[in-house]
Amino acid sequence: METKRPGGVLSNRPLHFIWILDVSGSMEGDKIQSLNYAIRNSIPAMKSVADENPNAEVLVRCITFGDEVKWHIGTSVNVADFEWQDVQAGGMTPMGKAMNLLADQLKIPPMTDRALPPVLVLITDGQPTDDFATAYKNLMQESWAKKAVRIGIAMGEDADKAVIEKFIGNKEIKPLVANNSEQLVNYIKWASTAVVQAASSPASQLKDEKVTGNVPIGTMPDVSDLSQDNVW
Amino acid sequence: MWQIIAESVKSANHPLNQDAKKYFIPKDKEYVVVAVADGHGSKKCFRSNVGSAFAVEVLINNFRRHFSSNTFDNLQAGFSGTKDNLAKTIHRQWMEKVRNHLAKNPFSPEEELIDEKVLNNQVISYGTTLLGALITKNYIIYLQLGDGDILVVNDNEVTRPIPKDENLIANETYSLCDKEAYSLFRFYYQPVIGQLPDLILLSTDGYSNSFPNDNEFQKTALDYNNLYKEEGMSFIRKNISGWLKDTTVHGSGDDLTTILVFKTSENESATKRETDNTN
Repeated sequence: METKRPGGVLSNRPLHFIWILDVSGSMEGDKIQSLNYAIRNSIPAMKSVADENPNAEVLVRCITFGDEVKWHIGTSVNVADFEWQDVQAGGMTPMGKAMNLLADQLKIPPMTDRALPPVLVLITDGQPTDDFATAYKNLMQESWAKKAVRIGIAMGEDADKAVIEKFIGNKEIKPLVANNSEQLVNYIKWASTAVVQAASSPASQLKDEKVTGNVPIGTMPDVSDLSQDNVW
Repeated sequence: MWQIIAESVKSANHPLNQDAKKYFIPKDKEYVVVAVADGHGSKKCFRSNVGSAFAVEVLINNFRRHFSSNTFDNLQAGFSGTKDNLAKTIHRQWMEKVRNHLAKNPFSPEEELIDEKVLNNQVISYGTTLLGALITKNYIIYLQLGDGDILVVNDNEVTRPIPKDENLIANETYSLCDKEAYSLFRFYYQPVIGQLPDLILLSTDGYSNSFPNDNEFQKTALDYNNLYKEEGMSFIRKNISGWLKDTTVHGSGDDLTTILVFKTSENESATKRETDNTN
C-alpha cells in the first residue's frame, strides 16, 4: 500500500548569500581583475559545501556600487547553477546606497521567516562617498540584517576599516585585510565555504538581543603561509 | 477518549537526538498531559539532550499536580496569577534539576574548553525549548517557551492556539536556560464547549521548518486527522517514523519530534493505558 507522507510539499531552507562589491574607479586594473578571479575561483568549493548541506538551498546574489548602485545579479541563483559575470570598475563609492538596496531585500517579504541566517560579504578598497551611517542604521532596522552573518574584506590598507567594522558589527569578527591577490582568493574562499557551512546548520541559538549575527563561524582564515607582500 | 502517538527522529547532522517527548494518561483517563522539548544543539548547548528531558519531565509533573489539586478548574477567571506562578515553578524546578545534574556531573576538561561564556554560566549548556498541553474534558491549557508548533484540528480546520512568534527567526529561540525564562512563557486557556478538538499536534521546529510555508506544514495536521479516521491508529504508528525521517531528510535536516493527540468517541475502547512514556 502507498503510504503517503502527511503534509504538503517539502523544502530545504533558503540560505541567501549576497556579495556587496565596491567597483569604484580606484578598483580599476589589478584589483578588479583579482576580485573577478577570486569570486570565480571560489565557486566550485562553494558548490561542494552546498552539496554537503542538502538541507540548505544556497542562493547567490550580488550588489555592486560604483558608477551606479545596482543588483549585478538580482535574481537569486542556486549556487549549483551559479556562474560569475565579471564586474567593471568606475565611479565613486556610494556604499550607503548599496546598504539601502540591500535593506529592501532583507524585509519580510521578500524574505521568509524560515530562512537560515543570510551571509552578507562586503568587499571594498576605499571609503564611502555618501551617507553610509544613516543607510547602515536603516539597514539594521531589518531583522534579517541583524541576524545575518556579516563579513567584511578590505582590499588594501586604504580601505576604511572603521566602516567595515561597523558593517560587521561583531567584535569577534574582524575585517579581513587582503593586500594582494593571493590573500583575496583565500578570504573569499573562506567566506563562501566555511561561513556558508556554519550558516547552514539547523541548530537553534539562544536569542540574542544584540545587533550581531548569532552564527558561530569558527576560526578566521589563516594567511600565515601566504605571501605577505603589499601589492595594493 | 484519547489516543496518542509520540515519535521522534534524529537528524543526520547531529550525533544524538536533542529533542525529548513525554506524555501521561492517568488510569481513569480523566485528562492527558503531553510535552515536547527541543534541546538547542548548538555548540554552546552541548548538554541540551539532558536539558530537554528534564523540561518535559518537569512540565508533566506540574500539570499533573495542578490537575489533581483542581488549580485550573476556574483558570480563565484568574488566569494571570496562575500562569505566572506555573511558569516560575517550571523554570525553577528545571534549573534545580540542571544544577543537581551539574553537581553530579561537572564539566569534563573537554567541555570546559568549548566556550568561555558557557564555563561562566554552565546552565546554558542545557538550553532547551518547551511545549506542552493539559487536555481535560472541560478545558485545555497550552504552553510554549521558544520555537516549535502547536496545531489544533477541528472540523477539518487548523488553528494555532498560540500564534507564531515573529521575533524568532534565524534559528534563534527563547530558552529555559535564560535567567528570566519564566517571563517568556506563553499560555492559552481554552474552555471546552461542545466537542474536544479532533487532533492536537505538538512538534519541534524541525517539522515546520521542513515546509516552504505554514500552509504546507498545516496540511500535516489535516492529513494525520484524515489518516486516523480512514486508516486507523495502527497504520499511523507503523509509518510515522518513516514519514518523519523522510521529512527531515528532504526538509530542515533537524531533529524532529511530534506528539499527536487524537480524540476518540466516548464508547470507543481503543484508548490504551499508557503511562509515563518517555523519549
